[in-house]
Amino acid sequence: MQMKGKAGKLVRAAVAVLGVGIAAPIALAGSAQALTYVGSDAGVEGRCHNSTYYLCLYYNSTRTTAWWGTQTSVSDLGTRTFFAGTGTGSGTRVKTNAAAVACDAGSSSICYIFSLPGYTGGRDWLYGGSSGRLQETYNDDASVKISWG
Amino acid sequence: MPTPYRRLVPALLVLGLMTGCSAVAAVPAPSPAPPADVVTDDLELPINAYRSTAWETGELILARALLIDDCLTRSGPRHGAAPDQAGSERQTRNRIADFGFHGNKRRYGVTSAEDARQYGYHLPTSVNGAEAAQPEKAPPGQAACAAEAGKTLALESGDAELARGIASASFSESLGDPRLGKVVAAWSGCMKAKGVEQKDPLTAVSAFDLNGALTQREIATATADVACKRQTGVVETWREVETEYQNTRIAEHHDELRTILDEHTQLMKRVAAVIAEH
Repeated sequence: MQMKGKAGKLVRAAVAVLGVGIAAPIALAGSAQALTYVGSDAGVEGRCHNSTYYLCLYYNSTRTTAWWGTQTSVSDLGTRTFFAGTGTGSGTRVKTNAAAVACDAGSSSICYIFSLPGYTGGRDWLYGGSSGRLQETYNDDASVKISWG
Repeated sequence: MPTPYRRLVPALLVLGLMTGCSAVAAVPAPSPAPPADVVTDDLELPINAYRSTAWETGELILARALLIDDCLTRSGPRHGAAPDQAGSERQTRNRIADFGFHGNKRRYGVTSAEDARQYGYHLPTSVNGAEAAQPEKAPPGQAACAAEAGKTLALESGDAELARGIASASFSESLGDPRLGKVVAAWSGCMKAKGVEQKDPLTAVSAFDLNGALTQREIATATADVACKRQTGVVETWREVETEYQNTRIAEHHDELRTILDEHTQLMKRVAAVIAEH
């Protein structure tokens, strides 16, 4: 079972690959700080592709329930909610609740998802035209950036 | 380029030239170094040597986009502009300006006094106009062509899991180190003396809307933030703690990391060959 949120993120980051324990975190915004490619060549999910949005986030990792999209970079997802009527998770705050992403842009563009507001913290990224399950920012998404190619 | 990488690349290039690469050109060019004016200064951590630089990632994005364009235009008219080296380089420079040559520029929050003075907590390219939006949806057929490009370049995950794990875990580990706790407390005290209540250098940015206009208050706060980091040694201590951790892990995983370097070098040779063909 996947641990949710920042606590799970910290544990996963420390034990993944290395198999180490971690000390109790101090009172800092604990987030992993790596840059991770999360895209696949499965293409962009239909609702996002048929919309006017270029970056879409999803409530679940299969991208079949609630979603939210943007045409521009967003430095703090705090007030955004998954679109109404789009399935389980609709109306839920997007920040720290996204499991997957689609980047509906040309192949020279890339999309970033950050674990902290202000484009800081751990980063997932993917090419335009691809989708993927979030890793560094799984249930830990706080800001997004579209880098146009 | 960090020393271990610099030492290994020539030998691996020779090996690569001897073995060749069947997927692309027979005589691949070496991975191009960035032009001299590209800002390569960034937070130096040992694991940087085993991960792609932003420049290399830019080359990879270009090579992949060129292959996708080849594929798409085989079956129909081109949607949008063809990928080009000048445009790709411009975007890579933008990404370096925002996130650093090794992607570490904002690892401990804003740490450049010059950036704080000019851009506050904003990304430089969002203020200086360098990052112009060029909205373009993925054209039909891009996914299939992307898969084909991935096979040609023999792309795997785009990064090595072990190196990524070390870069991530060293940061998580550092949060529990008392040396960091001490300097962060000192930083918070320094900020308070400058009239800013902040406990965490990573979330100081949260008080500002980076989608909005840059304000004098944001510049003043970011400038105080950087000055306090320097005064209290936050960056140096944090880097020292992470460096200790990473060096230990690198020594433990020496052989695997050597393989990662080897595979990375081969990938960049394929990337260079694709770009040279276009």
